[in-house]
Amino acid sequence: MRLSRKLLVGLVVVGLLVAFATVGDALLPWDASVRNPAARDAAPSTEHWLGTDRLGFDVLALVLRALRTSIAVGLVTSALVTLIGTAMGLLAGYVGGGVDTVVMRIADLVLAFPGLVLALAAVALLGPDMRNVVIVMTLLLWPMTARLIRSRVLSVRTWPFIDAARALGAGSWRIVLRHVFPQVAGTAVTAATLTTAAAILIEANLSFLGLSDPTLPSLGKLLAGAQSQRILATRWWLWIPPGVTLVSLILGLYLIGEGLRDRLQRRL
Amino acid sequence: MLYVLIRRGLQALPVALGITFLTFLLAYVSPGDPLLAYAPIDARSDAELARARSERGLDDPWLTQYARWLRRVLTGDLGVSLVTQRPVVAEISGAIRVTIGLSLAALVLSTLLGIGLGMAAALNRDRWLDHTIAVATFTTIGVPGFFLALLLVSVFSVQLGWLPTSGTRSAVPGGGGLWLALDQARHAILPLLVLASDSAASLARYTRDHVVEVMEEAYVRTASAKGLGFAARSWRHAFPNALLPIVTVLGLRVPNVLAGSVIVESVFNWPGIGRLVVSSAIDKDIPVLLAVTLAFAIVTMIANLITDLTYAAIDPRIKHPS
Repeated sequence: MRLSRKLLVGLVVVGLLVAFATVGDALLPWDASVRNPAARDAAPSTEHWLGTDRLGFDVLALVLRALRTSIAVGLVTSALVTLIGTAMGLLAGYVGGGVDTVVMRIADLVLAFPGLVLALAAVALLGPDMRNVVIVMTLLLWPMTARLIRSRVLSVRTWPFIDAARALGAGSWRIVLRHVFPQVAGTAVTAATLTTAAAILIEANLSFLGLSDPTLPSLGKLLAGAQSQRILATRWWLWIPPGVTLVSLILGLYLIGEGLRDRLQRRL
Repeated sequence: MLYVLIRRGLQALPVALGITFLTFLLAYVSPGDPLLAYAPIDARSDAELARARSERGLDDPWLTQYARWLRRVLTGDLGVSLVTQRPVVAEISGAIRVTIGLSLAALVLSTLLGIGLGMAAALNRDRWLDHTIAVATFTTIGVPGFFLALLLVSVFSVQLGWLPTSGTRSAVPGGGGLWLALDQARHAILPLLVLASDSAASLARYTRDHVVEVMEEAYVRTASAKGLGFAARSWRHAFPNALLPIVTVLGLRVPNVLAGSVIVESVFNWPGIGRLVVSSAIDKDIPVLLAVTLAFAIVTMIANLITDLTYAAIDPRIKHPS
């Protein structure tokens, strides 16, 4: 199995970021919860590799914490979305008829509206804790997975081995779970990768706008703090590192997603 | 054409209803009492608060409240902002215009940029320009709008001082009509670039791939056999046939552009409905929040309609049904 360049680069970038998020604490000299009163608002140095903020917190340690939030939010949301989206896609594609129409109409409805607007309203009204953010993002993102899975199911359904299974007396559940699902699993994995990126992006947008969990550190919040002439002019270390971390994470996930998709298309 | 209009209108209705219904439901289950939040603490006794609640119908079941709200909306009454005490209609009518103008300009810009870059890449397939455009567009798609905005402001406004950092016009008017127009254009450059970048990039990628695909079709080979040059084959034969799916993609970008306007208006401090949705969400100004989500649903509807009409206009099969 040869990895394409896209897949390889994506896996390396995301792998490095995940590794950093996991073991970073042990490698870094400073913890994000400890202030250094002797070095407030300091430029990068051998002591603080990416400088400190106004209160004396180490920027690299803050970015590490925020990265963890992003990865966790992305993974949890993606797991929920993939579960719901795949189930809905299988349901709509395999059962068809009225069920298909209803599921797809709801999906179209969600996709036709700027999701961020709804997310902002929902998070503000339900209260900005991370559980609500994840629920809202799940409701916004499942239609994309459902659509991809459905269109795949529609073609798999016509293959002869499905008829063969039915002729052998297999029930619908058995056919969907044992025969159809394995054929769409690759699509589900691809969708899950892209959903992770989308969820990380939405959470970053929400926290940038000040409507995410106030108790959790996040990359969006770090960037929101940089919206001043003074910081943009002279304190690059406060906003470039969280921004670059976010971009690398998203691009890495996109690369994996596209690499997986190319691979699937070649195989089909 | 009329059929397209009517069908779209019927499809758009459930979107607007669904979105406002959902927002209303969320507002209803939202923790906290909207009256308490905005009444002066010592000014009202419990009895007075209870009377105010029943006067405003806040004790009714939420479906009743939703029906009442809808009836009022149909007569043009969107209520009063809890924060500014001004009628919501006055708050959002100007804001809607700002957002429509910004989004339309961004869509036009991203179409020009996207198709231009996509064709440039397709015509130079597998050469360095193609690879450069591929890397640039891929990177752009991965850069969140707010980070791109900060990068551009940092370079062009703060470091170089060429462009203003925010706002729609300068505080001190300096001259006549031309000066004002130029001033507004200068203020619009960065917001437009940020808002258009994402869609321009995905459109460029799509255009490139699709034109490359169409170039392999039999009729393009025929054109080549007739002795037509490469440029004629690409622009006259491949491009028009790639245009339909491109317009479809453009239509699918509309919700993204509108979501982008939320970020862009917040960063650049533009008084549109994008910024209003953020401020009303933070303030829990429910009448404004409801009106703004409705406004977004309507703007999305109009934009989809325009896409459909464009589609109908360039597709001969819709223009001249057999």
